[in-house]
Amino acid sequence: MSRSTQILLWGIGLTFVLPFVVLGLWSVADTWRYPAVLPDLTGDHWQRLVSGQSLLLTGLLRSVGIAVSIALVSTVLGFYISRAIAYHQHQRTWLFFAYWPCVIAPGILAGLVYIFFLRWGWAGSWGGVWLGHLLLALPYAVIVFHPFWTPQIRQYEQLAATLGASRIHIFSTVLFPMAKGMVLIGGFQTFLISWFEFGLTSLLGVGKVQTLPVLVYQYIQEANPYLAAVAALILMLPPAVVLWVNKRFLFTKLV
Amino acid sequence: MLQVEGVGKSFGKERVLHDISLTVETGHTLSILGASGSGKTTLLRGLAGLLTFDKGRVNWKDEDLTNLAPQERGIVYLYQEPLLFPHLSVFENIAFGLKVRKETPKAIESKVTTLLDELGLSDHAHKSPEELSGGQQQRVNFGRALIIEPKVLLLDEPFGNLDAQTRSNMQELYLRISREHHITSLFVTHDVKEALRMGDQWATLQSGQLHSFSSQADFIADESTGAQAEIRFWQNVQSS
Amino acid sequence: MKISGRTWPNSLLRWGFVAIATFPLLAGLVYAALYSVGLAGALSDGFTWRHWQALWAEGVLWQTLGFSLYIAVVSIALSWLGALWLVWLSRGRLQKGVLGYLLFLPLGIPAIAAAFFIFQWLGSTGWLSRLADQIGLIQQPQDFPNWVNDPFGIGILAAHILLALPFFTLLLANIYRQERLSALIVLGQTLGASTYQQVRRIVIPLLWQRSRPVVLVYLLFVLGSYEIPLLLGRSHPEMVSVFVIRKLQRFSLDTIPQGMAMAVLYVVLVLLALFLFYRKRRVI
Repeated sequence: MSRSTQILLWGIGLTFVLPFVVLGLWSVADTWRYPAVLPDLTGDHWQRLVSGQSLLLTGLLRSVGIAVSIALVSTVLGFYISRAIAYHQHQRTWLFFAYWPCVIAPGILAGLVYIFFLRWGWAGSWGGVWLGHLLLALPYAVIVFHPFWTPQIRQYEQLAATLGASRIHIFSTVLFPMAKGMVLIGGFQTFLISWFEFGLTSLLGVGKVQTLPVLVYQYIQEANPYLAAVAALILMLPPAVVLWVNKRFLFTKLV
Repeated sequence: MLQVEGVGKSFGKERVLHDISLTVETGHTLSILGASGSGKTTLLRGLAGLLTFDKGRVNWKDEDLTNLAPQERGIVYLYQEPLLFPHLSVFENIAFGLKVRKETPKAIESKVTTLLDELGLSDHAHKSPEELSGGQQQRVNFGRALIIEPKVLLLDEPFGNLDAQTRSNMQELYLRISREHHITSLFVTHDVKEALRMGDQWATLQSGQLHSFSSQADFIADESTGAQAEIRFWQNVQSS
Repeated sequence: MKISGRTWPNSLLRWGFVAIATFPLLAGLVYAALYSVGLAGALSDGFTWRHWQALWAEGVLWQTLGFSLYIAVVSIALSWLGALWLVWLSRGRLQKGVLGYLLFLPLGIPAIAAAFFIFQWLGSTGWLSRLADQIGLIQQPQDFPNWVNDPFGIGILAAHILLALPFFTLLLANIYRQERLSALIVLGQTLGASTYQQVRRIVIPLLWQRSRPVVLVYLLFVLGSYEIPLLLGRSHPEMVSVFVIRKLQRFSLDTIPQGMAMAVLYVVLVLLALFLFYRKRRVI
């Protein structure tokens, strides 16, 4: 690589740090009037998160609760469902259904099912939003886990069975350990689907279910870029940490 | 002794196994000569309980195994691939069946150590499967099955992927171990020499039909086994 | 254990999955279709094409779909070509070291934060504008070019490219290594291919062929994107998601059928694209 190429690549690479810098500055800005390039600094906004004076802390806790439980449920269910699909002779047809919710905009999907949620009293409730997130995360998990079920994995299952292992034993000591990497990646990706979800949440939550992404939007609407930046940075924290641990978790072939 | 009476299997309109009956004496190995597509995998999977025969019975001594789940049969089916659990060490692989049976750690330790020694794998106990050669992997595979003292062992071309020398060593090892442990087994292969060497009893499987021979001489004399062609080949080589 | 895949727990899992993943969507689609022709909903008063005609007559339909497609195609095309250029320049060695980590960073940025960042970066009072003011390029925020909430969707494109460019760069770099492109290029050289021919005949066709399924899925993803155009777009033309959700959320009930009609059209088009693509390929 020539020197100019390297400089160019580094320039582009550093551009990707900018969102963290700009949002970081807003999150510690006391006031930041135009045309000042740098703000006066304060720790007040982060303190409001910790002290619980704003909606941030409850928003954070609830977002964590939803995203973690969605990740757990859709990973475990998705693992079993993908197996049931992969072992069927028309597996491609079944898998086709899993792609539907993944290619349609979550907000529009929410618009289509909104009437049922309204009729059954789920709209505007945490449970309703949770169910909505499951509509997105579960099919995704099924698609991610589907390639795991090769003929060889089936032979492993059968071998373990003839050695005397029960169904539960096979899953817990053979299949889950063998799929560990994939399960962790799938788990984190489904966590992110829920953690980042905005359109569906705002529609099905009717503004009452304030997850972190909804709060970012609310703060922007209220012309409070400081708290919007704090909320946005909290959203970006788990992926950044996971990236530091293992890059693979953020990158799958499916979008 | 294993007794199979009139089992059959069809997939849709295709009849894969026709009325198969066979008997294997306790401690004997039945060599079955069969090419791929002969129905051998279906037969073995059915005996292991991994699929249900359409008809017929499977008995072990006086016990009817026909409707038992694979877990309850004590019949282990070994594939051509060793299929060692990649997340477990050699020791843990062999211990798998004992852990399933909830044996004490002490009993597991002593049984596995003894068997590792017998298989010449003592130095590899804590290696992961990928660090082993093909022959060593297949030995671990045997050990994992032997340790639960199965009633019957089903072997589906177990040495098919090994080079000639390793293959010969493994045949020897298997003969020794199966005699020492008094193992009853079905050994399926498409190699007539291997069939002759490994068996105490002989049969051929062609297009889902099993033909048993009453003696080794009959097996060799039958044109369909290919033994005669093999003999003629070597005679021709010698005479030319 | 029978592992034939036909036993009842497996059937239950499969049908249960379809009941969760597909059925609500399908039922909602039917309901929306009925709603859009006046056969369902609070204001239904018998069959009518009125709402579809309204969408059609004002040109809203094609403007909305066209604008969405424009954003999707342009942002993906620029990201893919940018990624190609980066991978070519670096010969696929992008994933190692600090630079590799920098490329991964945007993958962990939610769309809403990306939109907010672009607003604070390219907007008329954003950081670039402040810098321009400091060095005397402009005198007031109004002098700064209109990059956010602009008619060409520049802000929207920028936000999508921020997220898609690193993604495609990593994807193409992966393919570059997997397919041993550097070896193929050397082979091309020995056969007398010029640099241009190497790119044109070897690199582009191979990377395009292997990345096409992902490109399509990402295209559909951008087509339906919501938070980015919501924050960075203008009220006309809108992208599909913004249009539909605005119509559905309005307090006056008579806008809902138009939103439903648009949603139906969008979903049918997307599912059709998926079907055509899925049928042809073994792996998507």
